[in-house]
Amino acid sequence: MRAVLEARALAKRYGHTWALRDCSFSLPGGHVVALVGPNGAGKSTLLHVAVGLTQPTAGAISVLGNPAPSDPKSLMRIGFVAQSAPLYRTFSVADMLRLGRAMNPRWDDAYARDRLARLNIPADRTVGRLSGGQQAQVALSLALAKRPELLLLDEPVADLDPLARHEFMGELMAAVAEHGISVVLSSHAIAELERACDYLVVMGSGKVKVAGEVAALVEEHLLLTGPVSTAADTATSRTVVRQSLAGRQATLVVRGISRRALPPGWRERRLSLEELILAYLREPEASALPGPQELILAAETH
Amino acid sequence: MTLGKQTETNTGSALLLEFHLDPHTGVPPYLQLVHQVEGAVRLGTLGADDQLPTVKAVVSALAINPNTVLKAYRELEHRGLAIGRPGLGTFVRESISYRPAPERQMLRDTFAAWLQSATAAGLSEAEVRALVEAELIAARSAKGAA
Amino acid sequence: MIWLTWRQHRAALIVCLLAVVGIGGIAIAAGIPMHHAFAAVHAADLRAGDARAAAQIDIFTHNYWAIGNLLWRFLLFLPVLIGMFVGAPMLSRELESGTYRLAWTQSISRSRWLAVRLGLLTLVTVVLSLLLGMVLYWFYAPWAALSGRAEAFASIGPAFAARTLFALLLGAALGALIRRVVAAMAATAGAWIVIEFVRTFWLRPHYLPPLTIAVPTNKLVDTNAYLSQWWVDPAGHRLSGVQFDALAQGLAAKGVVAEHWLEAHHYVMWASVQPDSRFWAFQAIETASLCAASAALAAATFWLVRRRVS
Repeated sequence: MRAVLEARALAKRYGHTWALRDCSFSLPGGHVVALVGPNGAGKSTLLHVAVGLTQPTAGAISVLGNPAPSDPKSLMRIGFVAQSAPLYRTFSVADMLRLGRAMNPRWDDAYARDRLARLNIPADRTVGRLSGGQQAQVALSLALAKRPELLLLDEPVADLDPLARHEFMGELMAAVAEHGISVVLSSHAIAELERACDYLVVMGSGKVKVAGEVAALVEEHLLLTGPVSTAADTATSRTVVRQSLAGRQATLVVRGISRRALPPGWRERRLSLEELILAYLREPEASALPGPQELILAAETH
Repeated sequence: MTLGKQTETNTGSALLLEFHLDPHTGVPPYLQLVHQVEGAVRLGTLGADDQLPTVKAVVSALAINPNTVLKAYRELEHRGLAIGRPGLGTFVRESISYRPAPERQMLRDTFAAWLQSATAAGLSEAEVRALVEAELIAARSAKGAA
Repeated sequence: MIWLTWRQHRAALIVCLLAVVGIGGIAIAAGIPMHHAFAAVHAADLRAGDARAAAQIDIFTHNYWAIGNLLWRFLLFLPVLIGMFVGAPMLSRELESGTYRLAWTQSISRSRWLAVRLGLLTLVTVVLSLLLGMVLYWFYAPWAALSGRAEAFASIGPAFAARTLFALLLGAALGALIRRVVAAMAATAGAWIVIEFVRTFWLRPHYLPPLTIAVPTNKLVDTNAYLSQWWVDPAGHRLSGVQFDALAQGLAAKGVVAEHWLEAHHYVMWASVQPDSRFWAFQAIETASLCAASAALAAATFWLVRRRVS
């Protein structure tokens, strides 16, 4: 499938802080993408660059094939809900729909109205008096009524209670099922997105640590545990994502299938998605780890 | 996490199946859906030509990725339990592995008798459940090792 | 987009409309009888300076002093209110509340969004304030005839509209710069007051080089705007302020009014003035310079919105 969002060496600096640093990825269409990382990882910055709210300091980004994200032609095909679902609090729900109609040439007003009616959100209610969950649904409706090809949501469920969160995600998945939209959702916790997303991008310190289809990533990674003495041996010819040593036990998170059998005393198992994400986030240089020699030295100092 | 809302279904028939997903079993979600459909067919809750819930209805209620449901329905087709009719939906097929009624009734009677003797022997309900779980797990891993 | 601008500024626009109608209405309602009363005065030859005319001027002044003074003074502060309550919140509220993340990710470019919004507000502001300024100009006519148009300069004619426009755009620019509503409002008020002060007391008196004239005596009406005045002795020497004070004190001790003694001894008062005939020239200068400044502020606002707020 054609890439919906691509970045090459994207960087953004605010004063002395780098919010994004050498960020590169290519997201295929037709997926629900989880953009996961701790606060300050650069998720919001990345999304803001993608919708033209922020200009990158360096690098390039391409959204639905368009290299200029603030171009109205690009914005027309994207639905965006910023963090905390900003809406004009003194507007009624009907006013918000009218705003959408006024500002978007491609606008399905009936769709938005039906959706909100189905969710029992009255059109004449002032936005400021809606619950958090209802506001999130209104914001989502506005984004979906544009009939976008790509939906970008910045921490859409962070402020919502579990019920509201479930309803929001349910509505979102129904829209994906019905229209085949590509979605990118950012979050600092994978748990709330795990069942909905089939593509994962992990960000930390402004960089992309790992990206890929969830099923493939889970398939490719293994957790190996065994004695420290044979750890270096085990690590050779394997791509080690993260190693940790505790007493005489070594734990390795490895990627890829190795032909070599495990030495005696070693066990392997699959990682959960959460464990996989943590492994990449805890390791500052996740893809370039010390080789076997350094592993032995580290072991000997314990 | 069940099908709560009455979303639109093709023929206007009432929802016939509620899906539940347990995130802690380690069984992939799509397989859980498959098992639940299989179970419903075996128990007779779903009969031949009954329509399975639409993808949209399932994801709306469970908040899961549509691809998961598609994968589950494809697996059901692969196992011969369901058939997809383009533009109409996915429907239960006459299952070839469906146990004939008499045999099923015999198994159920045997189990009821066992249960009676187990209760008489002093087993509590919780102990009975634990026993059943343990045997299921053993059977599963035996199947997996095979 | 037109609807959206109206919807976002509904309250402010209604208040402004009511204010214009209200103030204009008062001006017309009070102005008509005032003009009638002044017609009686005008019938007498003001220039002749006879006692009857003087008495009638006194009566007129006594009756209409209140409304004559208060109305135009009230208008002095309207521009800053527009700047604070319409201009300053326009962009700062969007930025502070985060709604810019909604507004700028629809299918309209930021420039077009700002152009429509700012353009409509500018249009309404200019039309309403021009209307009000002209009504006030008509209203003030009797006082203009009596003491000139310099005092109420900023509230009558197109200069009032220009000041209001300037305040609006000052608020908008500061709102884009400061990004916090209350701070932007405060900054707008502060900046406007300083600029107004400087313009009124330093710039406006010198739009054109002032004339130096001998102050006419025994005149009932004097439409000149006085910048400074001084006495000159019969020999042609100018009396300094210190000298005048010493002289006045000495005379006061003897119970004599300084001005009478000076006139009797052929001292002449000279003054640096701006004649009332220069009113429209000054209005043109002030209006043009404020419009230029407004255009610069608008350009700055566009630049800030397009580039800096990233």
